[in-house]
Amino acid sequence: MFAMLLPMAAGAASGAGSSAGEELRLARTARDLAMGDAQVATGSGGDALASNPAGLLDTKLLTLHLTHVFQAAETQQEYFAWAQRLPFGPAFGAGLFWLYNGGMTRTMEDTWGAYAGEAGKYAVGFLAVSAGCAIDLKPLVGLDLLRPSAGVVVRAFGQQVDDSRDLGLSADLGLRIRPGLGFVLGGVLQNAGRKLAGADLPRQFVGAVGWEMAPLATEADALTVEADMPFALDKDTAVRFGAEYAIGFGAVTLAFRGGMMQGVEVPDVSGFTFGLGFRNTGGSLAWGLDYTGIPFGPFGYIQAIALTAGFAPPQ
Amino acid sequence: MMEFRGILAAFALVLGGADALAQPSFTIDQSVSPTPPIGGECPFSWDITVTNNGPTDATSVWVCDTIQAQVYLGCSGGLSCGRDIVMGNPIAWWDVGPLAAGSSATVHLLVAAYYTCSSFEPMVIFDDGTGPPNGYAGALSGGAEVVNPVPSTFDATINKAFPPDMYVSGEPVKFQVTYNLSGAGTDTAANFRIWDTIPAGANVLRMDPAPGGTVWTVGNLVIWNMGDIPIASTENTVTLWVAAPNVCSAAIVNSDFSYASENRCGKTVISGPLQLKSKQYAVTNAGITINKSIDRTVAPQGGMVTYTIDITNPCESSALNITVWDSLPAGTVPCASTFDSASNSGTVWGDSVNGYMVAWSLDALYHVGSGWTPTTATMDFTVSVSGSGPTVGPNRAYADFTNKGGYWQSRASSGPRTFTVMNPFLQFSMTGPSSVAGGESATFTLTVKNVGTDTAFGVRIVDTIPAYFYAVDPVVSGSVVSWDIGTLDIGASVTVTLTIKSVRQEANRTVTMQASASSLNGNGIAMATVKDSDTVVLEMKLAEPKVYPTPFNPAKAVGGVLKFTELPDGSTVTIYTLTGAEVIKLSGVKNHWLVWPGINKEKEQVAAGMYLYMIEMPASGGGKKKIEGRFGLVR
Repeated sequence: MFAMLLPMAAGAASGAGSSAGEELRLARTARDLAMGDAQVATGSGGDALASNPAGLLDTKLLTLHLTHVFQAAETQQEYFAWAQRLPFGPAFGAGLFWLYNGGMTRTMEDTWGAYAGEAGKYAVGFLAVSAGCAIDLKPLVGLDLLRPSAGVVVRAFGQQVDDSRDLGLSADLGLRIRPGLGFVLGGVLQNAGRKLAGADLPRQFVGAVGWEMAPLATEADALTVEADMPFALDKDTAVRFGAEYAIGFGAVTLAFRGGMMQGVEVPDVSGFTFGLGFRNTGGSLAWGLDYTGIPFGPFGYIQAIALTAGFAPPQ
Repeated sequence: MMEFRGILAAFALVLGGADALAQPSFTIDQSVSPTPPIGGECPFSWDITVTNNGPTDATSVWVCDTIQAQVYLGCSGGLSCGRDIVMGNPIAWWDVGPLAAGSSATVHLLVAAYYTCSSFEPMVIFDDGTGPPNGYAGALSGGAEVVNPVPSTFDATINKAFPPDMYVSGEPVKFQVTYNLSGAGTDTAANFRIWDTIPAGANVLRMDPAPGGTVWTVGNLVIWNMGDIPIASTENTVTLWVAAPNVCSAAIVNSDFSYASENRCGKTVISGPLQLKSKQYAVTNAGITINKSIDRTVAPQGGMVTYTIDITNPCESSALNITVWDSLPAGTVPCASTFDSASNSGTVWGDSVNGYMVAWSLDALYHVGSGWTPTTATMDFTVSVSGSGPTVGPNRAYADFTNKGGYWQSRASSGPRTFTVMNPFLQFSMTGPSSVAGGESATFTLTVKNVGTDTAFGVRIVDTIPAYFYAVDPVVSGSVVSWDIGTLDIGASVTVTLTIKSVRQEANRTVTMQASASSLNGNGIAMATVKDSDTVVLEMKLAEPKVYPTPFNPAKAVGGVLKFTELPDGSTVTIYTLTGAEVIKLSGVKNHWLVWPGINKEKEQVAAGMYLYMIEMPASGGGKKKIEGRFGLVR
C-alpha cells in the first residue's frame, strides 16, 4: 500500500510556495495543533478526517467537532467535522473547513510603479468540504494480527483572493495497521488531485508511528505518543512529534498535550506545541473542550479552542 | 669823547699842581677780538692794557672809557669795574689799584656795535700818593673800526615780453627781479634773499634762481636765496613764470618784492621792500557751458529717447578745436544723431558690449558780441531703450576745447540726466514643503505679481520638475510644466499650484525644483525672466515601509513585481507560506527598494494564496526592527 502511495506524492512542485492550496496542510483541530500535527497514526474522529481517513474507523462515538483557530496574521479558521462508525463496520465522516481573512489592506501603485496609497480592504478565503470513509481490511486482506484499516477522503475546495476564485478537488488515501503492543502504524497520501489556479496541490505522503498505552495509573489514564514524517517535494522532510497524557477522574478526563513540528522556518518559532483537553463522559452526551496555544514568532500566536460532542452510535 | 677827555685833564691839573712833572707816565694799548668787530649788535671784546712807564709808582690807577655809541654788555679786570653816567655820558671804569713803575695791567670791556663806528679812546687817571689824583693819559695805540654789509644799490625790475598787457589763460607771465649789490657796505651780505607773492589763481610754471642760488615756495610765497653776496658783486636776476587760471577773465597781480640779508653773526642788517614793483595783468579766456536735456523722463523698453545738447561760450574770447561727446548710458542703443551745422556731424563709436559714445567736433565757438558766428551750437541724438531699467543713466555730456592761444582749457560738462524705464516687472515666488516622504505627493504654490510700471503681456510660468518626481496635477508627460497667464495688470498677481510626486523612493536625497516667470512689455520686448529666489529643497525621507500592490498579481503589477519600499540599506524581506515555510528571502536593498517577482528560492512561480512576510531592517539604536504582514497573491 505504501509502495503504491509513494509515487503519488511526486509532482512537479519542488519549492516552498510552489503548491496551491497550502491551507490544506494546516492542522484542523485544537488537539492536532497541540500534538504537533502528528495524528496520522493515532487520530480519530475529526482528527482522522483531516489527517488520515483510515483513522475514522477508530471513532467510537458519533462525534461532532468544532474548532476555531486564531491563525497567525489575524486569520480566522473554522473546522466542523462529523464522524461515525456504522454498526456494520465502515466509518464515515464529513467536514467543513473555512479559513478567512477579510482585513487584508489593499495597496495601490501608480503607472510609474510608485506607491499610490491604500484603497480599502480585500479578502482571502479558503473553503473545503470533505467526505470520507474507512473500512476494516481484515475481511478483505486477512492479516488479522495487524488489524489493517484504510480510508479515503474526497475534498472539494475553493480559494478566493480578492475577486479571484479557483476551485479544486483532492483526495486523501490512508492506511493504518496495529501490529500490537500498543503500536500503530499509519500512512497517508494527502492532497492528491487536480491543479489549482495552474499550480499543483501540496501533495505529500506522511508516514507515522504511534504508541497508545492504557490503562496506566488508573483505568482512565492513557498515554499517546506519535511521530510523523511527511515527504513532500515542495518542503524538506521534517519530523513531527506529539504526545498526550490523559488523567481520568471518574467520568472526567484531563488531557495534557505537547508536540514538536520541524519545518517551521519562521524566526523565533521553536516548533514546540502545547495544549489542554477536558472530557466529560458522565452522561448520555460526552463532551469535551480543548485549547491550544502556540507562539508563532513575529506573526503572533496561534490559538485554538475546540468543542467536541459524542453520542452513542446507533445500534 | 675828546670833550670828556679835556674835562678829565683839567681835573687832573687842578689836583696835581706843580708836582705833575715828577709824576709817573702811562701808555695805553688796545686790542679787539674778533677783528674786525662786526656791527649789527654782534658782541666783541675790547681789551685795554695800561703800562706805568715811571719814574715813580702810582698808588692808584683808574681806567675809563665812554661807551656812548655801543651797547654795554659787561666788563672785567682790575680790582673792580662797572658802568656809570658821568656828566650825562655813559662810561665804563676800572679800578686797577696801585701800579708800580715799569708794570702794566689789562682790563676788558664787552660791547656790541650797531653799524660802523670809530675806535675807542680810553684814558687813565692815577695817583702817586702825594696828594689828590694828579694825572691822566690818553690812548696811545690799538683799536679797530666796526664793519657791516650795507647795500648801496638794490634795483628790481619786472619784464614782460608780450604787449599789450592782456593774456589768455594758460599763457606764461614772466616776473623778473634784477638786483645789484655793487658798491655795498664794508662786509659780505650773508644769506641774501628775495621773496614775492605768487599771484592769486595763477599756476606756477617755472622759478629761475640766480647763479649759485636756490629757489623754493612756502605757501603762496616764492623765495630766492642768493647766498652770500661779497662786497662789490655784479648785477644778477631771478625769475618767476606763472600762467593765468582757466577762467573767463582774471587779473594777475604781482605784489611788491621784499628782500633781506644778514651779517656774519646772523643779525639781520638789511630788509624791506626796496622798490614798489607790483604789476597787474588782465587775462581773457574762452569758455563753454553745456546744457543737456532729455525729451522724456519715462520711456518703455524698446521706445525712443532723444537727448539735446546746447553749448554756448559765455566768455569774452573764442573757444577753438571743440569736441563734444556723450557716453550713452547702459541700456540704450544709438539710433540717430544730428547737428545744426552742416559742416560738422556727430560720430558714434562703440558697441553693445563696451558701450556707445557719440561725439561731435566744432572748429570754433565765438563769444557773444564778437560779431562772429557761431556763438551757440545744438546737438541731439536719439537712443533706443534696450535695458529693462528700472532707471537708465545718469550720463553727462562733455566738451574739450582750447582758447585762442592754443591752450587746452578745463573740460566742460553738463548736468546728469536720467530717465525711468516703464516696464512690467514680475515678482515671482514659489513655496512648498521643505521635505516630502518618498512616494508621496507635494504641492507647491507659485505666485507671480506684476510690480512694474506697465502692463505685463504674455506672462508665462515655467517649472522644471526635479529628478525622481513627476507632475500629477496638472498632468504633463515631460519634466516641464508651464502656465500661460496672459496679461497681468500693474499690481495684479496670479497663483497656480503644482502637485508632484516622487516616481521612486530615494531616501535622503536632496533635489531642487526651480521655476521662473517671464513676460513681454507693450512693445513685445521680452522682459527679464524672474526665477524663484526661494528655491524649495525637497528632502525626501524614509517613511514606514510600504508593500504594494496588494493583492499581488504578477501579471498586472508594474514590472511584475511586489514592491517593498522605504527600506534602509541592509534590510531583508522574508516571505513565508501560511505554514511557516520560507518561500524566499530578499536582500540587497537598492535605492531603498526590494522587489519580488513572485518566485521561490528555486525560482519557481509561487501559487496563489495568502503569504506572510517579515521585514527585518536595521534599527536606529542598533539591532534589528521587524515588521510582519501578509498579502494575497493572485494568479
